[in-house]
Amino acid sequence: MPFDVILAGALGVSLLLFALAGGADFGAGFWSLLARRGERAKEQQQLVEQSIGPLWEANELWVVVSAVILWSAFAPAFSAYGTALFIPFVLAIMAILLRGAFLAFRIEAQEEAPGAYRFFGEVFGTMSIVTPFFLGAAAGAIASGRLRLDANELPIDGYVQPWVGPFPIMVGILGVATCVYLSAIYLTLDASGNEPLQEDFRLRGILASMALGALGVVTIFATRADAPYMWEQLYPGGPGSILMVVAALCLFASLALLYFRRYWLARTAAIAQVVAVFCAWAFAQYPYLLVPDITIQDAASPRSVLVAMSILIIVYVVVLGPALWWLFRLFKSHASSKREES
Amino acid sequence: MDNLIAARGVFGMSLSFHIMFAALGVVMPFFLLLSQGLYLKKKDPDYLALNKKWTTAFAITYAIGAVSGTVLTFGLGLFWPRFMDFAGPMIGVPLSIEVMFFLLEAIFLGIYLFGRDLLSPWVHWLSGVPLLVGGFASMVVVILANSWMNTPVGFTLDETGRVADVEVLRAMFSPSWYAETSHMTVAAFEAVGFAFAAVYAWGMIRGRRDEYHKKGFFLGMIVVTLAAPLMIFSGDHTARQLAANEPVKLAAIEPLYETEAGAGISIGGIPDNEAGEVKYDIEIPYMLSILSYDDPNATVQGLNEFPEDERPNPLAMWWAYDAMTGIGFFLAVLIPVFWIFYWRYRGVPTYRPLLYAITLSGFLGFLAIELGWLTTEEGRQPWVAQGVMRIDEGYTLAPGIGVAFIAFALLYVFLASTLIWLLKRIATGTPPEKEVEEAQRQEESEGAYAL
Repeated sequence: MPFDVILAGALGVSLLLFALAGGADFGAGFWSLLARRGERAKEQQQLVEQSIGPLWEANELWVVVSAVILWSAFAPAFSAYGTALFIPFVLAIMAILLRGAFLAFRIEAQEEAPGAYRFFGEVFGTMSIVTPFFLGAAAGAIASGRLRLDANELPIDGYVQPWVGPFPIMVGILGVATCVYLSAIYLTLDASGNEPLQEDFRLRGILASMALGALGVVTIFATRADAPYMWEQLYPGGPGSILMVVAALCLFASLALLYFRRYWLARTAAIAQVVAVFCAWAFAQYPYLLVPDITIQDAASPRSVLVAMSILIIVYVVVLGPALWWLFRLFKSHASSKREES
Repeated sequence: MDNLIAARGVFGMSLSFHIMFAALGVVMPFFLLLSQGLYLKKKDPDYLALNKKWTTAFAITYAIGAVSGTVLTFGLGLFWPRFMDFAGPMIGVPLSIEVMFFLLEAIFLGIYLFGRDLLSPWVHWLSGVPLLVGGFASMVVVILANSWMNTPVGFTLDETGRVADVEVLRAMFSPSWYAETSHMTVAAFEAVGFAFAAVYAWGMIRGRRDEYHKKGFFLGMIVVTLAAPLMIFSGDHTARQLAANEPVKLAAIEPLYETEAGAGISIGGIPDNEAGEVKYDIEIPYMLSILSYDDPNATVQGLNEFPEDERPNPLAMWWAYDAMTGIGFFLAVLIPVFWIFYWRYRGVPTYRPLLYAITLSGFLGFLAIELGWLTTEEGRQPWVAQGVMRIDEGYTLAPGIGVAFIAFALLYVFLASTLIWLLKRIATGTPPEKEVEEAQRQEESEGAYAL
């Protein structure tokens, strides 16, 4: 069995889960930051807190799963990313540290230290935008082909050039926009029962999907100019372009469904949109872990490690699957009991 | 700043920061289960009030543990990419298991927090069990990775020096695994137990002598009383393990410069590397040979057995080792003293000097963890993986690590001071009477549970 490909798949899935669960939490930070004025600003902030509340650690840890799969199964790729993309990754982890800590501080400060509540929220919100931007820029650098390694596996063009270019920067912005878009749509569901609040996030969701669409169009040009390997697969009419068409349709569908207030379906369409973009990305980048110098096969660990990691992935599903199911079930009844109270 | 020093500095700070939250993450669930179990058995609202307070504190410390752990995960690739390139296949598997258990803990933390109002009391208590299991197991497996660095086995290299094959289980359970995991887990229970007792001892010094404080204090002392005897065995086993598998580390922490039969243990003093002896120390003859090999005349290897450029510098950690053992003995003596007072007072003692000593021990336990960690890491120098890869072959070649060091230092100071400020607010925030009252109310209104 091609264990290396299976593990690369698991890596993709963990990143996707991070985007869908953790990413939406980052987006929620953006909305919390924006909720400054207006009569429902406080309600909006509280909604954000309730909806990411005690779930956010689990949501964010999916990116750690990606990291451990990378270093166990594809250590040379992990090492190359860490060296060449030192700057964006260090900035991203600093932001993750600050964001998580200040979110936890903020949740407790509401009762115990109301004076600091606002400041904690500003740090949390700002860092929620910084993190996906730098993670996106790093991902863009990996896929673009801008990052080339010399014989010692050091970046030929230095430590800034690989990720400061049209494609990586656009992917960073697109990363932030995707988080913001997902979050607004999730929040419409979390706000059900409170119509004015739900309308707030409906409008925000519509605006965010339009913005995401516009940024997507700009990214097409950035891809053509700056990411030749991606372009080869994804250009209009190219082999992977069908996935991009699906993504565009899902985006449009989520916009329309928001307009017609079909929130549950809108969320489904939004998730499908992100899945389609991820599939397109994975399809275009395969078999590279670092375009074009490191392939999955080049970087794969000895077979025994790949087998052990593949077994471990099954254990992950068996152990964490039921636990997550229970958590979300409780979360739902928690939310509905809150709704009954109000 | 030199990149190697900066990389070590960032990692040293991050690990010494994270290790405290890791210890809390393992032991606090135990306290949650203990207090909630007691409440369910005895229906005493004090225990419920304690449980609620601890749940609040745990939610924060767990979050900091999670994000600082994320920093370390990425940090290994960012600051030690050449080491990870080599060692990833061997230490990656235990670390991947660690992340699974950590996620389990994260998920059940959510369940436990939501579950208070939604689950029936005993099911809610049971939902805390995976919290403890997840924390405990993740601590054990993450130390497996560290023990591999001290005693690396289970791999073969090809002619270019790349890893050709890995025996996954052998690499996971390297010779020092048992000594390291048992030592650290017991230390975590002892340190956190004392920290819990210290919070309430301090409250009692400040005049709060209510049942809530007494019970919180007593539960902390129960946990350390269970942990401390295990610590004696664990410390003893660790010494033997060092003699068998890490002789150079043992020689450096003593320090023992020349190989000696019937070697003694030196307490205090100042090692003089140039003269090759320890000055102004108190020596207990034969003790090192006994502790290492159970034989007063056994030969213990000195630093002279090892090439000069492969020796750790005793000055870097001999003091840490001595201080750690000193704290260990102090804490071990404090426990029987506490019970004597408990017996004399027919209940939780309020004797002020004892309360001061236990408040101090709350800091000392964590200090001992940091010192022990420092000892094992400095004792491995100049290697990152003992005998296989030197530390100067492992750090990143990216420039500007010094800037990252300064930024991280500021970040940790900022985080730590905000956290301490907030935890202090929480500890003194809601007065215990109010918490207890509320707990009583909740007990009276036996609600309907969703599941």
